[in-house]
Amino acid sequence: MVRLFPVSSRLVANADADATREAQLVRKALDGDGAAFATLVEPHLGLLYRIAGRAAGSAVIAEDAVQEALEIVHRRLGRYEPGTSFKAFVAAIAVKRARTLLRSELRRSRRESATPDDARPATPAELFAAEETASRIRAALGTLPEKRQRVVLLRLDAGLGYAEIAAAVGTTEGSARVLVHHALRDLSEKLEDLVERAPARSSGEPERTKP
Amino acid sequence: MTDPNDHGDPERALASLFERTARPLSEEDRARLERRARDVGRFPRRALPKPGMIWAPALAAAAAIAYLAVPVRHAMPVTDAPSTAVIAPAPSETTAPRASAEVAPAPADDTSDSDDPAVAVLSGEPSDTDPFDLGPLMTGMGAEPRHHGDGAHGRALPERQVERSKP
Repeated sequence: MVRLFPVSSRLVANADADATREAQLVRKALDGDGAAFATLVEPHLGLLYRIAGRAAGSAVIAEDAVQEALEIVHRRLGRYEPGTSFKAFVAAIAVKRARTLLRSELRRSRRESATPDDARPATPAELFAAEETASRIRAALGTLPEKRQRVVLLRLDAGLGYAEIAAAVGTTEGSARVLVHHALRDLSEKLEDLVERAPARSSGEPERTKP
Repeated sequence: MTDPNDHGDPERALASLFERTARPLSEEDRARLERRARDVGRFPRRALPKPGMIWAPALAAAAAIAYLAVPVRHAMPVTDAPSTAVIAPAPSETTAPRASAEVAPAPADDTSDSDDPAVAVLSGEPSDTDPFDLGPLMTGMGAEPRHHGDGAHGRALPERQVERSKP
């Protein structure tokens, strides 16, 4: 008990320092400092790309989507409240954009049969299976109501905690928990066969952000 | 009852599934996106319109259309009968004839009077103005006097009602 206090205070201090640095970068970016904006969004590029890649069928579309998301983040930067999670702010924009991508991707896959992405390096069976799984996840996501789609992406791809999800979708933490619960239940029902085969996350994997 | 806080294995299994199928960001792509972010950051920021700036003009436009769509509201004031007769809305646009100061009365002529059942009823003259045969009721002159024991429309009342109605 005695040791916990210094650790938690250090964490709080680090969080405060991050928030202060983030606030400074936001201020500079608002003044037109491109380098500050790049520094601000750099830690979240992977998240943006992962969400876009989940919703889009191809790497090219995913990259275009990330670029568009960056422009939207830049335009809306004035609405960001310093002190709140910038990751949640960015992720909220990314998942809104993902909705449009999912819809167009569903239309495209209806027109033409799903083919493996040419942009990825071709290693036969496993890669094909992974692409097929990704395509099924995309299709299942596309059938979920908008809010549920968003919380699934925020939880499983962005790895946000409930408080951050609540901030991103504009609801309370309790509602976010319920929303995530229903969304995951729906999705696991739709992907029942895949979920049963999927190995549960091992203890060695990084722990999801706890609210 | 399921606990919304306990997603248990479905979340773990889905997370694992999502992990396996996530599209990784290569170093090359990351570098390109960073350059792009730097460029985007240098653009002059375009201010997004506030929500009120979108719906307020839309609301005003809708109100203007609604106002102009009703012809009576923006009709010219009446100056004389012939001019207002021109302005008056077409008969098909009006749902019911209304006595209004803006609508000029139709010029009186014999044929219209004789055809109009309302005129016939008000004057109380002929009783054969179907289907508005109210002449006898208005003037008190019926074809046959109502007898004691007759109900509405000439139907015979039951005995009990006849007894009740006797003074």
